[in-house]
Amino acid sequence: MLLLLGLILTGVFAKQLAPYPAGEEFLEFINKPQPPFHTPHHLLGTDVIGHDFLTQLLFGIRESVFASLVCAGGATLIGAAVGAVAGYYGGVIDAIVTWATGAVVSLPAVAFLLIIVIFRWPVTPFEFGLWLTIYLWTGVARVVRGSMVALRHREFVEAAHAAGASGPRIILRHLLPNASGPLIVAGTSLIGQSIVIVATVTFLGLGTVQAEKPSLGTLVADAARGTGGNVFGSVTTPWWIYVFPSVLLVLMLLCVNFLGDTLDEVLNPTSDTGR
Amino acid sequence: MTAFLIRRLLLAVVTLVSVSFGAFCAFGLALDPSYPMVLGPAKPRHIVQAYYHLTDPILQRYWLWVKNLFHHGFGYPVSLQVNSDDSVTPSTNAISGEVLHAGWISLQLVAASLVLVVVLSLVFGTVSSRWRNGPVDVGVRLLNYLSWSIPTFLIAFFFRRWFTGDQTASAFTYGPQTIGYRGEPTFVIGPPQGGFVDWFQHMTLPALALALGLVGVYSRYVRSSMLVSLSQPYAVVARAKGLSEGRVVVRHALRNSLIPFVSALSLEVGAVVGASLAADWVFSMGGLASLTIAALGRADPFELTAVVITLATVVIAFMTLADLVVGWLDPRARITGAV
Repeated sequence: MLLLLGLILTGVFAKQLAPYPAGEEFLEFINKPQPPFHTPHHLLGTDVIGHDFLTQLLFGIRESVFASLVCAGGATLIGAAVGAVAGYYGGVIDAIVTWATGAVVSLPAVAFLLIIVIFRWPVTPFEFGLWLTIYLWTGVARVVRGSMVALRHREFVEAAHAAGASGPRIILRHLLPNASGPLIVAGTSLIGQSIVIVATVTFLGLGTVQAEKPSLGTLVADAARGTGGNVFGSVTTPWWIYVFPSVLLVLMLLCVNFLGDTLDEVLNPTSDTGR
Repeated sequence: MTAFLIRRLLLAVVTLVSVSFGAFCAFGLALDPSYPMVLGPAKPRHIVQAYYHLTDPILQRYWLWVKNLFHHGFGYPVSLQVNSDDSVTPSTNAISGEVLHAGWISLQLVAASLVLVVVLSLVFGTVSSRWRNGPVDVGVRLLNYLSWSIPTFLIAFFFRRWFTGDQTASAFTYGPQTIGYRGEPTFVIGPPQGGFVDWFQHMTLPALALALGLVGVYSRYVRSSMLVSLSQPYAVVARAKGLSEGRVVVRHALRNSLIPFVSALSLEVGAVVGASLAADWVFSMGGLASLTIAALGRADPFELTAVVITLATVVIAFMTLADLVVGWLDPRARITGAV
């Protein structure tokens, strides 16, 4: 939990923390990658074309954190609104929403984002989050719609209705608070999902790797290229190029998943996942 | 069951049509394949635009495309070669062919790893619910957390490094050595070449990499729904009849706990296919990942539409299959249509 908070703060303040601007090259280290903890001024060493690796890593975390937080916030809002309206009113609106989610879900998120990334490069972390939002609201909408359908005919809704409350008021004041447990859990799981998707997409988008926009996926992809981004191809990948981003990515996901699981247990005592 | 089947297939067709419409309009409006000719004289560019109807209204173009779909499949990539008599020389390799080839490889990959996922999650989930809170259960749950948190592309990347290191099929070199026997590599990268043994040599690692990242999530589903099933009255009755615990678990609880498991799986097929793109790319399988990236590089709207439709077809095929399995397991789902 503390670790997660630390990672998020690191991501937010990456610009201030990083010793050098992203993508700055140190000419003296080109083709001479420096191992971590050995070189003065470069705590985690450098990669093959002479980027300070700590800087690249910090900016990588920044991208993941920003994109996932924007996506989790935006997708939860849209998903809750759409799901609530569809679940409460039913009928035509519900049918349209179900059809739209079906169509969106049938194209893998990774493919969707890959198309966006390649055509709209360079993508800022914030934009990444927005595009993810466009895709990932469907999951939240489904969850919210499910709990709306379950709650719609309960007594307290009928009571509110009889008291003359309007549809939007019933949704906002009576239904959504009761559905907040699943909503929060779905929103948290979005953070993990979007981190994975961003990393996979940047890993796959090998052709567009730019050192000024490091992300955890491109750092591993650099290692996959065997030369750490070196055009001459004479140096084999040093271990720290892929070990550090991989470990960070897994740590981040472990934290998020653990948080989601704990929230699930606390907020949904009757849910049957994760017990 | 027949009515359920028909309704499900109809839904799949409707979804595919909407996907094709969205993809065609998005790519058709965003991409102009005649753009590379912008610096040359205007006339050949106009000829190409007229030949491919690039300047017509988008709905008209979509209708034309749909009509051609039934006659010529997905057609050919845009050709920019204009002859002296103002005709356009069409490209040669049909889009349908390459899309089918790549789609078939991806379909095999996803199917193989889904089989692995189902078997492994059932085994892990059942075992850890049978000996709940014992050391086995705790161990399995720890492994689940770990597998849940490692993205597929990382697993694939490390598999590629460790097991098939020095083979090169692409511009990417991965690692120092290949695991082999008498100079022959045990696991081979690249698309399957045909033959039973060969298929396993090519498919095992990518399918396993894909499966390992998913087992964590789904064995948790199996475990929790098994725990619910095992406390249901019918399990108590089965125990009271004197059946052994193993028989209660396998014969009575398992079938009922399959339902939430399969419906969860059917909702996330899209994520599975998305992850398969990473495994596909790392192992140079020549599946939809390579095709998607190549098509994006060529920026041909017709080819991209075909690729997106193929991806959606793979996803919808597995979703429909999962829904049919749920319908078979749970007769109630056939009537309401939703679980």
